[in-house]
Amino acid sequence: MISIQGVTKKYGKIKANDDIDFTVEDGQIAVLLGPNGAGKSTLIKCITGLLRFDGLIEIDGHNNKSVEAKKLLGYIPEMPAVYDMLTVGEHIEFIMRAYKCDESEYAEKLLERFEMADKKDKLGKELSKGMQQKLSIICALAHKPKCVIFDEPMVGLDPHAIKELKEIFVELKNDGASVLISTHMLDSVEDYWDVANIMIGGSFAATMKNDSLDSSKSLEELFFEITEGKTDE
Amino acid sequence: MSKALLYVLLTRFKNKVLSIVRKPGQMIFIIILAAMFGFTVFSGNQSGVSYFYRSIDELLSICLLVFGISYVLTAYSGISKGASLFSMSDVNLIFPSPIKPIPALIYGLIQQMGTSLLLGFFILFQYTTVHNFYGVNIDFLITVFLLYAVTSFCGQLTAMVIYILTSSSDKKRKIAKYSFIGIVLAAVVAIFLYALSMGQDDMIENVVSAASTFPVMLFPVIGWAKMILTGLFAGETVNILYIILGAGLTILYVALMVILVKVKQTDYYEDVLKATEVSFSAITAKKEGKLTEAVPQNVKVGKTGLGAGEGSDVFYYKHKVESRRAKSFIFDVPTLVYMGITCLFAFIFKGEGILPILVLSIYLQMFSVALGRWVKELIMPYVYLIPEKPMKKLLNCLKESFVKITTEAVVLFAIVGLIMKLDPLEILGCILIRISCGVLFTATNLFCDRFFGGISLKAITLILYFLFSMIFALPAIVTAVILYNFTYTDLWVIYTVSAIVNTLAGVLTLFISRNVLQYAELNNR
Repeated sequence: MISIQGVTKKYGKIKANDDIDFTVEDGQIAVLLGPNGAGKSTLIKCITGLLRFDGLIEIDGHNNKSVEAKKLLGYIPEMPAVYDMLTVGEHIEFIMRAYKCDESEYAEKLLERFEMADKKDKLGKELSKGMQQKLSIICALAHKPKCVIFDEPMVGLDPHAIKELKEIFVELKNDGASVLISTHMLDSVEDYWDVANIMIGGSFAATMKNDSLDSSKSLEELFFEITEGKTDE
Repeated sequence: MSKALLYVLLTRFKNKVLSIVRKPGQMIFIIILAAMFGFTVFSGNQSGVSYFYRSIDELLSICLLVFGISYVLTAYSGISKGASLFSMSDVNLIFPSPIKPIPALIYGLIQQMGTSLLLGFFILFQYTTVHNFYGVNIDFLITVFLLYAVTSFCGQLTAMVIYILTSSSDKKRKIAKYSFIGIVLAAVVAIFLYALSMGQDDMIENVVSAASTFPVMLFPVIGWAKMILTGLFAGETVNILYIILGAGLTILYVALMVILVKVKQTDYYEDVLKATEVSFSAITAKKEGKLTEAVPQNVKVGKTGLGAGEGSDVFYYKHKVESRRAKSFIFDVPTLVYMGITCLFAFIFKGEGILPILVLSIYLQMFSVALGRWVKELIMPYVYLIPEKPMKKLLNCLKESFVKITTEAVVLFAIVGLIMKLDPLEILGCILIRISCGVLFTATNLFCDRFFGGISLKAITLILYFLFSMIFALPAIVTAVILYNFTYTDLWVIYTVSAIVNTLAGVLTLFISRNVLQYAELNNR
């Protein structure tokens, strides 16, 4: 479970996140929506422990900066995080060794699913941006994290990889993982979101639960109802 | 040039100035730079007049070398990878617009001139050294600065023209590349052979004499730049003929390059496009906090696999693999350049004692430490995400740097020791001092990241790094001064004791900064 309580992040005088509270339960897919500059990526970086913040963030009851929390966390950044001078295979080895786990079989399977198995000896710098994004996703999932955070994961992916990633979302949910996805591609999460948090100007403008909503409206319609209403005000 | 291009040029310049005025951080940075420059000039002038200045020909030859490095490296890198005078917004907005290619090229040239001027800014800070050694004044340095900008600009222009003219075939480009290297090497060999023909007693003096001959000044761009300098500063009176000839040849050269583009192939857009995209991605990477690495273009992958490491220990083995692939020889390119400069100065100033060379090598080390592999680790998420204690991760990230610092110190001072015929104990002292400075600078870099990492203007963080490096090095400097003045001990003992004090200061700084991986703001470099 990911628990966020009273999180505020300031850049100088500007509040990028203002007193945010929410949780992502086990086996739940939460989506973070909002226009550009709403503070989604900042919030995600706070959760993953990359930024300083005021408030409390816990991963399965552990402070997000603790070693215990880091063991449980998988993070797919907005920009692919790939080492130029390591091969694809070495990236996987690096993650296995760093997380002291032996999920090589699972990592191999991920490489195959993302059509990267034949690129194992290619250096990070030789990969296209889309392939770097795939590798970044594989690295984040290879150690089988219990809480997974995706920041715009679809950007740059080919249709096959998008299909695989959507399946992975569902698999993670079925395995009991807490999944948080920040995206602009509303249709990509339409079929399986449980909770949608809409951010505007650093705060939550609305939180909706999929099972308690009027099913005739799509996520996109709900999103525009809220964001355009707010921006008109 | 069309009105639209003139408008873009002027508006961009105006907005740049306004942005400096509006952003206090940038303003402070410029004021600090100006103050530092003022201080350099003031402290340089404080030393008074000396009657034992070194020969001006030697300084002019050093300038020739600096111009040569700037021109040859810019042109060579441009010929190999493509060079562009344009930004990505120029390519997207100006190239498809109904503006003719030649005015667009002139616009690119003017823009490049501005960039070239900025590149040579470091020259102005050498005032104290050149004033004290050669007795020249600020007008000399400003001229060198302007000529450096001209040579760098011409290098970029040459590269672009050769690239455009040869882009149609790989064979042509290879011929152009090797011809360029051949001409430069032939000129260097000719200077050395001429120097040798004068005898082998004082090689440096002979090389300087060879480099000061008239034929050398006829070498395109760099020779002409030296001709202008010689005309202005070498004699008792100004030699107008040299100045007119040097400047005239340079202007003709630029005109010839533009004509070549016009005559041979006016449609240069396609050739420039790829080079612009490459430089744009490098600039974007820098803006996004990704440090670009000086790696060989074609990396030899070699043996794959990290082979060892568990937990944060894996960083050390990862760095070893990355360093092996990034190496062009035993060390990476920037390290080789810094070592080369130190050895060259050891060769030139071997009669002046080891201290100036040691100080120079430490000064250059401040830059090379800031380029260490662990610095690149701080802008990737993994080092923050991996489940280990921050201090343990930090030490494992630094391990490879410490090995490199030690190897570098041993190799460098073994060579310098041979050049300057130093006592083995003195060499050992220098090695220890350099290692201790490596530890101290690494720790200071971390200290600045730990306590000032949030400052958005990274140039200020860099200035703070230099400032704190000097402050943290004070205990060792004071120790050395006390030992030198109040004891009659050997120089190597002073070096060794100072190295121990310096290392202790470094370890203490490292300890204070140990939580850098707990709080650093990612990608905010």
